[in-house]
Amino acid sequence: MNPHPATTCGNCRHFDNDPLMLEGVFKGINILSSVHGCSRGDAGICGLHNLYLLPVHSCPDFMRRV
Amino acid sequence: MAGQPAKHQSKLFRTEDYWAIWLGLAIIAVAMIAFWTGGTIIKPYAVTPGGWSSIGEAMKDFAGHLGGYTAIFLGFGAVFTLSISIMGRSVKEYIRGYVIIFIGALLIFYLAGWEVMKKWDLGAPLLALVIGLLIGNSIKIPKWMHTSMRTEYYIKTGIVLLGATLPLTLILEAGGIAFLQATIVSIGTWLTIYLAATRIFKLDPRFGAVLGAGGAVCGVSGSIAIGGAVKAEKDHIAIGIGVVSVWAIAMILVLTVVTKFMIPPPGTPVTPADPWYIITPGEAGAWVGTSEYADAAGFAVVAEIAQRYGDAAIQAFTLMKVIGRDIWVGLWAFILSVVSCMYWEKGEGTRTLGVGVIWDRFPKFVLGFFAACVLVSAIAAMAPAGHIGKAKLDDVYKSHGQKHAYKADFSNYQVPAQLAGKFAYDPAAQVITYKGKMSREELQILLSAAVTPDQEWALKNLKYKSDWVESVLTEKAIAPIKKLRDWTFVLCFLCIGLATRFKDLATFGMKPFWAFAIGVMVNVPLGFTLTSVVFKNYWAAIGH
Repeated sequence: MNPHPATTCGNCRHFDNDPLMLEGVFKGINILSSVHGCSRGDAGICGLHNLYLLPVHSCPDFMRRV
Repeated sequence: MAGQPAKHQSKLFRTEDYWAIWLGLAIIAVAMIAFWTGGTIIKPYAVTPGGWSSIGEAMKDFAGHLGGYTAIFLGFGAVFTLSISIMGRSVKEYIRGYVIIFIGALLIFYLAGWEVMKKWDLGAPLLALVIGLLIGNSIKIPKWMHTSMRTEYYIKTGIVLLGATLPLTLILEAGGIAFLQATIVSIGTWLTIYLAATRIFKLDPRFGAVLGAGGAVCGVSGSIAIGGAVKAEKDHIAIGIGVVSVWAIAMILVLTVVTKFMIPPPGTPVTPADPWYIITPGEAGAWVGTSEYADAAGFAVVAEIAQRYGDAAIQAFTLMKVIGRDIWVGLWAFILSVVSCMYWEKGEGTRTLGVGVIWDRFPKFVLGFFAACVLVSAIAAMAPAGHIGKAKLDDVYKSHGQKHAYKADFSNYQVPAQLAGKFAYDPAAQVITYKGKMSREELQILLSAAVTPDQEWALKNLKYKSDWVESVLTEKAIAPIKKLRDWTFVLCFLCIGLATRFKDLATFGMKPFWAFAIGVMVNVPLGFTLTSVVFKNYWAAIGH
C-alpha cells in the first residue's frame, strides 16, 4: 500500500467521497449500482484534477484537509 | 458531508453488501430454526398474491394475505430503514419512498396474477420493470424518492436469500465450468471494448478500461470499481454509467423476449433433433449470465423466465454471473491499477495499489450467498434415513409450473417384485407410501406397472413425497424464503424502471456508445456459443 498514508488523497482537501454528492454527480448510478456498495468503497472525486480515485492514491498537489 | 456514514462505524455496517448479508442470513436462520423445532414462523407470513380472474377473487386473496403483506412491509421496512439511517441517509425520505415502492410492488404482483397477464406470459419481474420505466420516463420522480430506490441493496438481499435455494452440490459441479466460461467471456469482452475504444475511437485508455469493465465484469459496479482503481476522469465515469445502463436495460428487454421464444413450453424436452436455437431454461440462464452486464439487470430476465419454467434459469445465471464474474472484480481492479500505473499514468508519479484492493472491491454480499448455501445444504444433508413418503390417491401433482389433478385407484396395481419391500398401498388411509428416497429408475419400474394415467400421476407425486428435501424441507422452510426473495426482486426491478430516465442518461457521445456496442456484438454470440455448444451438457442439465 501507499507508504505515505498521511498525505494520500483520503486526507486531502480536494478529495470528496460523500455518497450524496456522488449520486448527484453520477446521475443514474443508482439504477444498476450503488454509492453504498463495496464496488465503490471509499472512492471519491478529486476536485482539483477532476479524477475519480481511491483515498489511498496520492499526488504532488496534496493539501491537508483542515 | 451530510450523507457520510460516521468514520468510526465498523465496515460491517457501512455498506449495503454487509446489511444484505445480515438481513438475508437472519431470515434464513429464523426459518431454519423454526423448521428444526417443528414450527413455521415465517411460512404463514411469507406470501405473494395468488392467481385471479375477477376483482372479487383478487379482493378475497388480498384479505387472506393482508397479515403477511403487513409483516413483510414492516419486517423489511424496519431493517432497510435502520440500515439506511446508519449509512447516513434521511430516514424520513426513505420511509416515504419505501411505502410507495412497496405498494407499487404489491399492485404489480396482483397484476401479474391476473389470468390475462398469465395468458400473455407476463410475470411480475417484467411488469415491474416496464411499468417503472413508463412512470419514470413520463413524470419526474421527486428527488426524495431516490433515497428509497436502492436497487442494489434489494437485489443483494435477494441474492443472499437465493443462496438458501441453491444446492451446494450444484456449485461444486458446475462452478468450475461457470468460472471457465465467465473468464473466456470476460477477457474477450473487455479486450474487444477496450481495443474498440482506444484503437478505433481513440478514447483515453482509462476510459476504455472503464467501459470494458462495464461490459466484462459487473456492469456499472464494474465500471466504478475499475474507474477508481485506474484514476479515471470524473466525466468518463459519468459517461460509462450512462452507456452501460442504457445497454443493460435494452438487453433486459431483448434477452427476455428472445429467450422466451427459444425455450420450449414447460415439460417439453429439448432434443438433438431440435433447431440450434431451441434451448433449455438452464442454458438461457447461463447465456444471460454471460451477456447481461449487471446483476440486477440479469436477474430481471431470469426471474421472468422462472415465472413459467422454475428456478433453473436463476440457478444457472447465479453460477455464471455471481460466481463466475462478479467475485473477480477486485482482481480486475488490482491488475488494471498496475497497468494504469505502468502505462497510462506516465509522469503522474503515483504508486500502484496494493493487493488489498482485491479484497476491498470484493462484493461482500457473495459471502452471505455462500453462507446461506452451506447452511441449508448442511441441513438438507441431515435428511432422516427412514423417511416414508406418502401420496394421497386423490390429489394434485405439481411440476414445472403445471398442475395435474388425479384420482387414482391402486386396488388392482401389481407392485413390481423388486420394490415390494419399499412400496405399499394403504386402502384404509387412501394413500400409497414409499420407504426411502425414490430414484428415477425406481419410478420407471413403478410406472411400468401402472395401467391408468391417474396411477402415473400418483406415482410421480409419490416420488416427490419420498424426497425429504423437496417435499418437507423445501415446502416448509425454503419455499417461504423464495417468496421473500421474490419480494426483494420485484422491489428491485420496479426501482430499476423508476430510476431509469433515458433523457438524463443519454448525455454521452456516440464514440463510447459504439465502442460498447462492438463489445455487445462479440459478447452475445460468444456467450451463446459457449453456453449452447461448448458447455451445453452442463447448462442443459441444470433443473433436471
